[in-house]
Amino acid sequence: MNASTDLFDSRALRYIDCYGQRFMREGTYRYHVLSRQEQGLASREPCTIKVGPRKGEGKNGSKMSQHTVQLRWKKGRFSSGSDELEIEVGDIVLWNCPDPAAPPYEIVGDQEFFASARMVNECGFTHAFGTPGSYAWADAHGSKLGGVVHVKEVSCASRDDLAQWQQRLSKAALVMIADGKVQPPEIEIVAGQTVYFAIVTCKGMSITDKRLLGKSGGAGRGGHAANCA
Amino acid sequence: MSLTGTSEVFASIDEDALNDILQAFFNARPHYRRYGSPAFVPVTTVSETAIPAIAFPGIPGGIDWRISFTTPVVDLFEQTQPLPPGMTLKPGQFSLHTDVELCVNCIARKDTRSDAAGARASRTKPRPDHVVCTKLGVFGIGHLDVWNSPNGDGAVRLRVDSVELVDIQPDSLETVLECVIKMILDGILSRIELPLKALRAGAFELIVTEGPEIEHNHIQAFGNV
Amino acid sequence: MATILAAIDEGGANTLLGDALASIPTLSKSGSGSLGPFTAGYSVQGTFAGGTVDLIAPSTVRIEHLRFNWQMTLSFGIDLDDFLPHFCLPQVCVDIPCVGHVCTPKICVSWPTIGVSVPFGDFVEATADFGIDVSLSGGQWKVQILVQNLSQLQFGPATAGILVLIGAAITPLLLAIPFIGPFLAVAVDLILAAIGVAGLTGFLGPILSPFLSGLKIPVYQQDKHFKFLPASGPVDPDVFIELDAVSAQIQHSDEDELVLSVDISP
Repeated sequence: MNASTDLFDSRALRYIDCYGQRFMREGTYRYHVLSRQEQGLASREPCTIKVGPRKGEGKNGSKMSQHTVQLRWKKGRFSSGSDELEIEVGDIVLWNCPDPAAPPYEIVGDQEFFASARMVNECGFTHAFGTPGSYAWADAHGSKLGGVVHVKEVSCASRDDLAQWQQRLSKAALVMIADGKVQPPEIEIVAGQTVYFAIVTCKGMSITDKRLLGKSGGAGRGGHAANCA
Repeated sequence: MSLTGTSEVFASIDEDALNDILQAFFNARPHYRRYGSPAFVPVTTVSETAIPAIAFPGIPGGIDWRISFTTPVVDLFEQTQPLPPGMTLKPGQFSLHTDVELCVNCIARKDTRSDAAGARASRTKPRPDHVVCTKLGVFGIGHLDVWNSPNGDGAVRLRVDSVELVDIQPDSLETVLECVIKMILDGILSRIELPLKALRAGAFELIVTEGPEIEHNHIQAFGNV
Repeated sequence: MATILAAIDEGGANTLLGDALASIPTLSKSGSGSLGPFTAGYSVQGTFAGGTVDLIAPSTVRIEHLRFNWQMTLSFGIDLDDFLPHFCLPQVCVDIPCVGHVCTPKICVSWPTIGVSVPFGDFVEATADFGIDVSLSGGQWKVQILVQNLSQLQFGPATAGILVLIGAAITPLLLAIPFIGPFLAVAVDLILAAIGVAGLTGFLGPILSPFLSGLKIPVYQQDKHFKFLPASGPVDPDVFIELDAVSAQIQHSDEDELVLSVDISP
């Protein structure tokens, strides 16, 4: 199978990507949603996440609740609908801009742990793979972390085939990154499925399609040769 | 009966059109029907052709003379123009009629050694100041002389076979003059080549397989594209 | 009347008109038209060939199997949203150890508009009835035959295969679109069905027909002031005659002939 133009990069999020960040301490966290063209021009008022104390069990009896922020792209800027979000300690916030016309963007927080371009602890990146092929990924910040996603071709000859395929799409594949290891390093999915890269602990990494990194495979932004132990 | 017969292409020109072409030719290049020795025509121009004087011992500069024809009128077989008695137009032949004017510069020379003026006159440029002329009607019979090539080129010439002058006496003088005029007329017409392509006004392509020949008051040719 | 006559029979006319058709330079045209539901741009060029001449008195030249060989580049845009079902990635959930249940939102895919460019070629044939036109313009006589009636166009065998070519051109473009895999065959079938053979010939016919219906074939062309002999020296200037009148017609006797008659004067 040939690799296609289905590029992915947690530093440049698109409509089929999500970035999730868990907030483990109380406080007020400010962030911007910036397109590539707006780098260094964060002059607007930031969005705010106010993290308060945990008041009890989260949804479904879990210790964590998820808050999904749907971004909009309009008149050359991203907006989140509400500039202030109140959550509880341990909750996760997931960002997605579902507009295919929006340019690649990143979430830039006011603290080091809070950035989609350089993910640290308790965060994640999702990407839906739409085209068959084998996709090698690596950390643009220079660590040795990396892996391969094998995307299988799907052909649906009947409505039943189509239904089965859509059923399968609702199941994501999970890749855990912790203690300097990727588990599993190679996964196999079908075209249309989503991979969730869950980063438990790391000093700052990206999930970047190796084709974007050139032959060296690690010439990313920041040049941070981090060891995500 | 079709025009082309067993061929692909047919072309013909009727005798009126042929006469129009001859008239156009002689109008544009009249020197083909007017000839004169130095006293009459010092140098060839569009209008007249220079010819040598008739050289003769004792006549310094020779005998100056001039001959000119009217544009010949051609009649293609079948005969439609009158001919003098004794002349008949046969299949494949044409007849022609023209008027010829023959002139001589009849200089009177004093033949005495003491004649200084006569001696001077013999050294200066001749002048046609003693011209005597005669006009004769000429009838001729001739045939077509044709050539054509596989690439479609070709031409037609009119060749004179015999000439008749009417009522010249004695008969021997008539015979001599007929011979001279026949040679001159044939010499003139043999220099005139009528291209086949122009004879059909540039219509179609024609690789000749039959003709050109005279038939039914036309010159016609058959061939293929 | 001082007349020059030239006649050509059907065999000769076949050669004459065949050569004339072959000497017509490549014709070309570009524009746009409806190709099924699409607006397609095209650039077409072609040449004439073939045909069998039938001379019909008094003034019709019929060419059967008049052929026009053509090459075309067809360009059109396909908004795949018109052909593919509305498709959304469902909500996708994972259970992350020590974290909990995390779900992505439903994400709907917007199918793009793709641009297709397809080169192909074939021929069309028709039977054309030409009338004879004689004119004098700009000091030049011109006899030409002009189409007066054209039969329905018959397309060559390759035309039916053009849909396959379009499909082959579309497929690699579609393959590059994420999430289209399961819908690929359906997309191609739907697009080709939307065009259809009828749509294709309906598109091609109005484009190609004017090439044939506008055909003018020269038969004779000469200056009225006709140079009979070119100049051949300073004392031998050009010799001209006047072509006073030109007429052309088809005469029928034991065979049919195209007869050109030219009246001249000095």
